[in-house]
Amino acid sequence: MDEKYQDSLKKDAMDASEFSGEVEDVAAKQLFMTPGQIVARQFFRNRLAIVGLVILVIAILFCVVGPFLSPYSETEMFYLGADGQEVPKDVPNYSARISESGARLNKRAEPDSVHLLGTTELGHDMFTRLMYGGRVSLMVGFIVVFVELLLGVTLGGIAGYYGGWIDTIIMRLVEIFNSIPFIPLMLIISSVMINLKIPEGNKIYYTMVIMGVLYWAGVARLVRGQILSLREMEYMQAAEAGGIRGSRKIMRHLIPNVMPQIIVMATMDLGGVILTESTMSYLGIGTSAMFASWGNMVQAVTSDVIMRNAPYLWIPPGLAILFVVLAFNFVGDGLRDAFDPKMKR
Amino acid sequence: MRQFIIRRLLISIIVLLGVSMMLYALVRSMPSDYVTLATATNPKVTPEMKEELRKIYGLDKSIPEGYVNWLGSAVKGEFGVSLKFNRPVTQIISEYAPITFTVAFIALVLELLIAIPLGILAARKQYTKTDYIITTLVFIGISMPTFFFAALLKKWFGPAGLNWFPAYGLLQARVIYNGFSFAKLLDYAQHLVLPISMWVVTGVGSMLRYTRTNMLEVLNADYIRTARAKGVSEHNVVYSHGFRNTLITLVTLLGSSLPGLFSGAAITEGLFALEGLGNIALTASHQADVPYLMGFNMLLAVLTIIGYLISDILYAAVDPRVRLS
Amino acid sequence: MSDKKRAGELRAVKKENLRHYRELKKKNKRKISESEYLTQMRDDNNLIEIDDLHTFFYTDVGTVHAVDGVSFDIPRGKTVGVVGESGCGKSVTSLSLMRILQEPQGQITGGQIRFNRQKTGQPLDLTKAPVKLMEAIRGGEISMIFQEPMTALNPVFTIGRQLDEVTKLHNKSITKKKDIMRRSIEMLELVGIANAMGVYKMYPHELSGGMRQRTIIAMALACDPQLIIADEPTTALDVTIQAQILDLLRNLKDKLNASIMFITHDLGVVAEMADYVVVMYAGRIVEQGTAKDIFLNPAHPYTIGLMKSRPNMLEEGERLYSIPGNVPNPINLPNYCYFRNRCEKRKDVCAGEYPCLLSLSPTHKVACHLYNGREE
Repeated sequence: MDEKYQDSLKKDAMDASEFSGEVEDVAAKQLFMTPGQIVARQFFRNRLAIVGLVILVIAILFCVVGPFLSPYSETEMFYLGADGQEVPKDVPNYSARISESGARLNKRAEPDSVHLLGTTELGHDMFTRLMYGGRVSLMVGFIVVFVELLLGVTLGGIAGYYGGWIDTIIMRLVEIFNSIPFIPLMLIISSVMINLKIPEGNKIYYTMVIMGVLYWAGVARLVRGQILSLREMEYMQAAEAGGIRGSRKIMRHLIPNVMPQIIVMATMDLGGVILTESTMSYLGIGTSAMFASWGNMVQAVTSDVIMRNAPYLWIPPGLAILFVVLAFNFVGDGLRDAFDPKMKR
Repeated sequence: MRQFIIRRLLISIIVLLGVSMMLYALVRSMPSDYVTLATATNPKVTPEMKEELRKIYGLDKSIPEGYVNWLGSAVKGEFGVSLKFNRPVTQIISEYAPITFTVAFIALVLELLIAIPLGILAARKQYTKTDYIITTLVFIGISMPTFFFAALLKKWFGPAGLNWFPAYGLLQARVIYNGFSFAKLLDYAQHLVLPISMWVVTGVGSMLRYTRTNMLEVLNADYIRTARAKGVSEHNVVYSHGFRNTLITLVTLLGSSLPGLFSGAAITEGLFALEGLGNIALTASHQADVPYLMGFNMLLAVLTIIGYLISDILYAAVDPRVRLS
Repeated sequence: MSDKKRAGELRAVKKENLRHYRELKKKNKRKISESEYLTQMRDDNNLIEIDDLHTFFYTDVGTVHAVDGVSFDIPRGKTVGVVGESGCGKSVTSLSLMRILQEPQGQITGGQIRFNRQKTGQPLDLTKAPVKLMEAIRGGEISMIFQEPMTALNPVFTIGRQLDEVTKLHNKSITKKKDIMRRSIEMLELVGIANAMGVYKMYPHELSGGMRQRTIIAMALACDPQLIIADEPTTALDVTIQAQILDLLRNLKDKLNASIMFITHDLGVVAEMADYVVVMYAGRIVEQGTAKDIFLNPAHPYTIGLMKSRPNMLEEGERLYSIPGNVPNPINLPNYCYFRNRCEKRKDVCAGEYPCLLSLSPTHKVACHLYNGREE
């Protein structure tokens, strides 16, 4: 809701040109707050952003702390005894019970108090798998964004700061990377990985690095653009006139000024990466089905029986992706509004 | 103008060379080449035949040499023979591209028809529930995993649910149509309802948001106030003075969405088993059909660059301030 | 104040604002009958009578009383200069007059703006007139020249199209396309554009700032308006061009026998242009009178301060005077004189209620405790 009001204030300021003086005056009154505090306060006034933040905290707790609290492990299987009841793990004759005739895998069990979200096709506990799946999805998001930022900020910074032929080369590279459609390229990479016989378990790490490498172009473009426009600004020219060294200039003046945009972009990208990664694992490219990830858990839906009769096996992971990505978008949007200095109050 | 296009084309060629080099190097970096891989399950293929195939694909040469070879034929439009289909890649592409393109084009038109009016509405009603609801829905659309939404659609409207629409394929398998008929068209239409709905719902958000943000910016501009001060009616202020300016950015967006039409197809077609370029690419990747994948990717890269070019030209056409030189 | 408490307060403000927005929406939907907006002028020689106008902005941080009880008249054929620092409410007054405030935050909450409409001979209250009627008046009978010539023209339309639009909207007697075009070109020539035919086909970005301001003036004059509101029309221009534009306005005003409401912070310009002057501070009038009254005999300490801070009054070696302090926070305005904290002549009585306007002469009024008891 808040976004609208911020826009409104901005609008007022623009509309009655003399009114802007008043807005600044209000801002000036709050100068005793650090910029961080102002951003935080602005952020927390945005209801959607708070919803997003709450969802993220819950999701992270669920995925990181959850597995320690769960009584089951990711790959633990459950069996039904001959009587049709699940065999508890702690009965003394466990192995005998699950091998007697009539005993079978407890697959696609409906949710109950023992298995909160039922069991999967392979007799795993769905609720526990959901925690582990989220771990993978979140980890992919964070690592990919880290790699993309590392590359993007460095190369974008260099291009923007030094300009000239370095800039030309880096910007051509950016254009090349932008001209490669992501999913189709991942199709090639996926077949390369099949070919290289990369162990299923390791594929996900390669995928993360590759995604990071492919995503850097956007960040680089942003950083470069920002730096170019900042260089034109008066305070930068003042710094230059004051004889500040190049590296110092980047570190002390330019980077802090592009930080807000980078943070916003990173937040939004976290959502985007999780979405893309889940799509890839659903399609079976890149990551493997060995580890649970929210994407490949939804893949269960390709079985008609599961789609019809066991919605508890595919709807929860699907919703989990939706909510987490939504949360990242809400938070990113909230941050963008909070950072925008024109709207600072 | 002509000068601009020529320069733009030259840059495009450099970019295309870069893309193709990267892709080729990537493919060639595999330890066992794709001929071995694709023929591994076929006992009839003798080592001599494999050698012959390698020669055809230029795999017996070093990477730079092979690349020059590949490039030589690629320029002529020859991307080799698909290992899976055993037909020239160009032939496959020209056969299936119309399907992919039609589906994507319908989806794009629908997206525009929804995104632009709703985006303007949201911007005009900036302080109302309408805007709030549209914005939230947009966020949900952007954040929705396509495959999950596809599954929901199939569950609700497909044979598993209300059974209003078929969930897979383009035509009913058991029906044979002779030539073109209305019934066939209807069959196509029925099959396309779910895929296109999915595409539109998950894709419309970003375009809508773009329209809204832009329209807001434009509606706050000084010239809009001038128009109001001239006594222009509110409707004309928005749709004539305002929209004409928003169009500038929309047009840019349109050009750059061209490649997305094809690459997005890989997912949609895969999810709904539509026989198009994207779906074939998906199968090809599971079977390491590198020639096809190379061809498909190059097609997309060319489209991307054409898209940028179209955006630039359209941009110049709608914005008098831009002079291409 | 604790953050939590402040957050609660802000939420209350928001809620209150929403109420105001809704009320405005309801008001705009309602059909307005003629009797509601038709009115009588106090003096038939006046073109505009602004009477106790209140315009508020309902913002997130509180209600801004941008215009708070302003009254002044604009006589026919005269120029009224409205002077004040940025943020004093002078532009908002003009936007209220045109009814192009940014709704729903900006709303006229009280008072009247009576307009002596020549076209029908029926005076009407602009604050209550229906939207359709306002659209007919805007640009035709009352037109406006804006501050920023660089952004005030629509960048995607030719000058010709933007000029034609005004004629099409307001001068229904001209219907043929060719005649409309001829009229536009005439207007361009009138404002002193040499290559009128060429400029007609150009886009705004192809013109210099001065040329653009001329076309904006041409647009404002295209339908022989009764009132021209010029909102700092020369602020963004070079000094030499400023003078040209001012000359142009003065000449055209006489030619068309129109009134001008001239908004500026530049006293020099006012001295050159205005017959009457209104000095505003923080949304209220602090002093008003004829140009002579104000320039020869400024009364309010604020006006005196403004006079002193004009650079062209400087003797060599003298430092430029500036009024100490800042405009008060528009949201929490004090209940005493708004200028008190910056005033060099403040007395004990100034801590009391806000001073009302006192008449120093039949034409000269000032709102200051210094003149209490000196009334004529």
